[in-house]
Order: sequence, then C-alpha cells, then structure tokens
Amino acid sequence: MKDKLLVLRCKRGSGDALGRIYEKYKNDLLILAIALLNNTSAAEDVVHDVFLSFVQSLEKFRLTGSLKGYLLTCVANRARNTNKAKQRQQNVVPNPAVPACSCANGPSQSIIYNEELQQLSDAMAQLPYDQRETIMLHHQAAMTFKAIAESQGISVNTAKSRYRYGLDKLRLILDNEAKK
Amino acid sequence: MKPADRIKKLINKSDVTTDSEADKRILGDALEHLEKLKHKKSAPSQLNIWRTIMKSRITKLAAAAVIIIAILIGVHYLCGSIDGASLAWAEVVEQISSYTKYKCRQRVVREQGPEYPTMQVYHLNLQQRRQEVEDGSIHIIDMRGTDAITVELYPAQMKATVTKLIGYGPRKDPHIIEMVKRFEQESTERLGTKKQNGKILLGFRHQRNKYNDYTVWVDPETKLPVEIELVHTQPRQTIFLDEFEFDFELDPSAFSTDIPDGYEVKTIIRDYRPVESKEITAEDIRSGLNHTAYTVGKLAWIEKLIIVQTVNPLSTIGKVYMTGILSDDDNNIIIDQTNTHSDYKEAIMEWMLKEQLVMETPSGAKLYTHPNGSIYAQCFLESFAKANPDFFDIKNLSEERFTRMIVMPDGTIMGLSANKKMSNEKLQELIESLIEIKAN
Repeated sequence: MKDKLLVLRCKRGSGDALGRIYEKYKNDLLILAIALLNNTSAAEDVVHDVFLSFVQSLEKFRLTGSLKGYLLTCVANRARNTNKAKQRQQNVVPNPAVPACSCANGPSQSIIYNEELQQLSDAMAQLPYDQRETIMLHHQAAMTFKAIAESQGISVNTAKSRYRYGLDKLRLILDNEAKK
Repeated sequence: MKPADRIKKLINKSDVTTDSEADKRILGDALEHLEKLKHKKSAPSQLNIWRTIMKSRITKLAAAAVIIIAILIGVHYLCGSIDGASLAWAEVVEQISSYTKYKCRQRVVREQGPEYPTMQVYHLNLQQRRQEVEDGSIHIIDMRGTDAITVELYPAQMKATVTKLIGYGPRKDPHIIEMVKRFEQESTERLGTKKQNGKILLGFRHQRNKYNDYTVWVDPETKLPVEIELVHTQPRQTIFLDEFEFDFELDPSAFSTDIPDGYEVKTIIRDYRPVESKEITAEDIRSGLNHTAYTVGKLAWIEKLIIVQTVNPLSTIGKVYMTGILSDDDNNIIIDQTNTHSDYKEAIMEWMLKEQLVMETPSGAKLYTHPNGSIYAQCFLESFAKANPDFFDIKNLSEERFTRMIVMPDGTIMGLSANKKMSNEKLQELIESLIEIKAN
C-alpha cells in the first residue's frame, strides 16, 4: 500500500496503518539511529519519540516527499539532539578508541543487530558526529548534499567536505579492522 | 573497492531484529496517542485555556467570568454546535450554488495504477475549464461547441496537442462541486468539527453509493467547502480537493483554445458522430481502428459469423465493431473492438487485476474477468440484437452470460461477451484463432 494512503488512514485514526508504517520502516530507522548513536537503548528511544511525534503532528502533517525520507530525517534530528544532550551531560570528549557500542545493548536485549551493523556502528563511532550524520543521510536516506546542508544549517560545500573527510577516515578504520 | 561503495554495502547488509517487546515499547505509545486523537475534541484545548487563565495573576479577578464563557465554548464544541455548527447542509448547497466558477487544487492518491499529477483546476462553468498541472503543462477543455476541444500546452517544450472530439458536444461536464450540490440534506451525515490552520471546519459525509464516499469540510463562516475528499472503491483512489477559491479572477483568455505563436502543434481527431448500425467486413474494422484489428479464424463449431458496426453501448457515443458468432451449441458470442485511447486503455488495465486473470493461452493472450461482466455482456448482446435482430433475440438473454477482457500479446484489448457458458477449451480455441486483419 502506498505511503500516502497509509498516512491518510493514520490521519483517520487507523492503528493498523500506523503499525504498517512502523513495520515498513522500523529497520531503516533503527539502523540509522544505531549507526548515529552507537547505543541501542538510545536508538530505541529516538525511534519511539519519532513515532510519537509523527502521531502528534498527524493533523497538520502533509506528505510532500517520501515518508521514509521524512522519518529518517526526523530520526537524524532527534539523534543529533540526543547526542548533544549526552555531550552536555558528560561534558567530556568521547574517546574514539572505545566505541560506545561495546556497551551498547541495553538491559532488554530486544533489539539485536547483525555483524555488519555492529561493524558499521563501531566504525561510525570513531568519526565526529557531524561526519557520521552526513554519511548516513547521504547513503541511507538517499538525501542530496543540498538537503543535508539545509537540515544541518550548513553550506553545501561544508556538507560535501564532511562527507569526504568522513569517508577517508572510514576507509582507514575499515582497513585497520580488516588487518586485525 | 571505493570507500563509498564499502559503506553502502555495509549499510545494505546491516540488519536489526526487534522482538515483540521492543515493538510494543516503540509503537505502543504512538498507538495509544493515536487512539486518544480519534476521540479528541476541542475540549482539551479549552482546558489549557482554563489552566492559563487560572495561572495568570492579572486575570484572576476576571477568571470566573471567562471560565463561564470557556465552558460554553467547550460545550458547543463537544456537541458540535457553535455558531456555524447549526449550519445545515442545505445552506451549504445554497451558498455553493451562488457561484458559477471556482478554482481548487486536485490531488489523487491511488492504491494502484499510474499516478495522477496534482493540478490547479479552474472551472469557469460546466463546459469550460483550465488545468494547471504540476509538470508545467496547461490543459484547456472547451465543450461548448458541437465539436469539443481539448488543448494541452507544454510551454517548456513549446509544444501543443489539440484533440478535436467531433460530434462530442455541446455537453456539460458535471464536476465534483456539481455532484456535491446534489447531496440531499437527509442523506448527508454530520461529522462534527476539526481544526485546521486555526479555523474550525464542519464535516459532512455523503455516501452516494458503495463506490463513491464524499467528505466535505466546510468553513461555517463562508458556508463554502474548504476540503473535499472523494473516496472511490473501484478503482481504489481518493481525490482530494482543497485550496478553493470561489469567483476567482482570471483573464478570459486563460480559457482560450487558440494556440500561442511559436508552438509545434499535434492534432488528434476523435469521431463521436452518430453511428449508422450496419453489417461490415473485416477490412472495415481494420480501416476504422487506430490500432491492430483482429478477426476470428475458421473453427469447426462456428455456425455463423457476422460483423457489424454500431454505436458503443457503454459510452453511447463513438463506434464499436462487433464480431458476432453463433456456435453449434446455440451460444451467441460477441468480440468487440473499438478505438482505445491511451487513457482509456490505462483505465481498463487497472480493472484487470492479477486476481482477475483467468486464462493465458499458449500464444500469450490473457483473459480477465470484468468487474461488471454480466452488465457488460448484456449491453453488447442488446446492442447486437438491435443492429442485427437475426443474429440474436434479446428475449433469449441468459443468466449465464459473462464477459472476458482479452489482452492480446501486442497489448490490444478486446471484449468478449457470451450469452451462455463456454468451456475453457472452446474459449482458448476461439482466442487462439484470432488473427490480425491486414490490408489487402
């Protein structure tokens, strides 16, 4: 069923339609959140908040582009806020040598991810947050650099630079991983 | 491998699994909130106003009086009867009827089939309209004359397509607002209110039949529609009309079918003039169709074969070519062919859902059931009976009658109507016998 129709049904109060949207996109949203935050509990909270906020804004919500793109952008925005809050709380620079993912899974263990996502998440954790976000939005949400720049409030060139620097670092990280 | 490809591969291979507990945690609150929204009325916002008032030091003294007003508003909202809430559907109809022209945005959400573009539609009257499509093209439709005319302008490409529908007009084209005006008070259900862009709108619902379900949201101040939703069940789609502007200002030239200078023009002629019913040859079908024409080959069980041209019983205008077959088991079978235009073809193909596919012949022709097969068959059998009473007597119309839509391997669509049941073997044999009519 098309997203526009699912949204329309949600607007009319269909829990089934909301469930179908969740089933359709939960994996993409969780992958993005885990890759950005390196913590399944935090990722789960972000996706939870995105769905809640989606329902709260349903009355005014108008789907103009892709629903997947919209939800992924929401996840990215919330993950950014979560990351900022975490940094403020800790008031310390995260140690890139210790990927947060090593202690990522929360007590519930109800979100399990495969080796590839673990590898992605670990590698991403070693990048500055902005570079992580740019790479994931470009690759997973298929967002253009212009759209990423707009969502982050930066210039297109800065978005491109973040992407390029991030990729260079990732290459080194993944190469080192392969040598181990 | 490039780092970008590596990361892409890694993302593609990434996967998460959630158990029911996680799903419940993430989705649970959202579903609960959705449930609350369903029952939400404006009362909660009034409660917020109360809280604000009660907290305010300045308004403490006036609070009691204000609360009384707030209670009244709240009650009105809950009962759906504030000011315009007493608005009757008849008043809306009266108000709409005072306008002859209006513009609106039209969006169509479809479950299947090609997507329709969003457009701004300017209805000047029931015979003239202008459509500004999101792809930049402009369509002008004028049905005032005997020959209706549609003009499609593509300003970016400086191209225009003019379609002349000879003998189609003059005619009126009842649009959605015209339909809405026909809703009767008694059969129009009140839906209560909803808030949109700070305005309270009143909802009315009219289920015209099982195929058309209308919801109209009206501004109680202007008594005019703000939003209209029309849900079609066949095909499954919803038409949304909003951004209404009644009595719009637009230069009359905006409805002109004259092509601006410098455009490359393509002209299409469609003939809708009255059709003389008569017996014709296979060659006549070929010369009359704008696509491949087919005739039935020789089969042992065919006792009689007659080809006629007559008016299309479905559209009541335009020509249809029917090949009538009388079989040795006294069955009357008709294969109909008509000029199909791309939009019509698309509409037919939408009906032909996969589930409706009942046969595929060895040569690749596909047979589908028709949603209204019995009516379809009746129309064509009646039409043939009028055109050639010797072939079929309508008194012999059977309850077993059925229709199959034939899609030939080259995409040509034909209809097959039979008065009585046919075995699959016979049906397949008939379809496989269809041969292209080629010029002599």
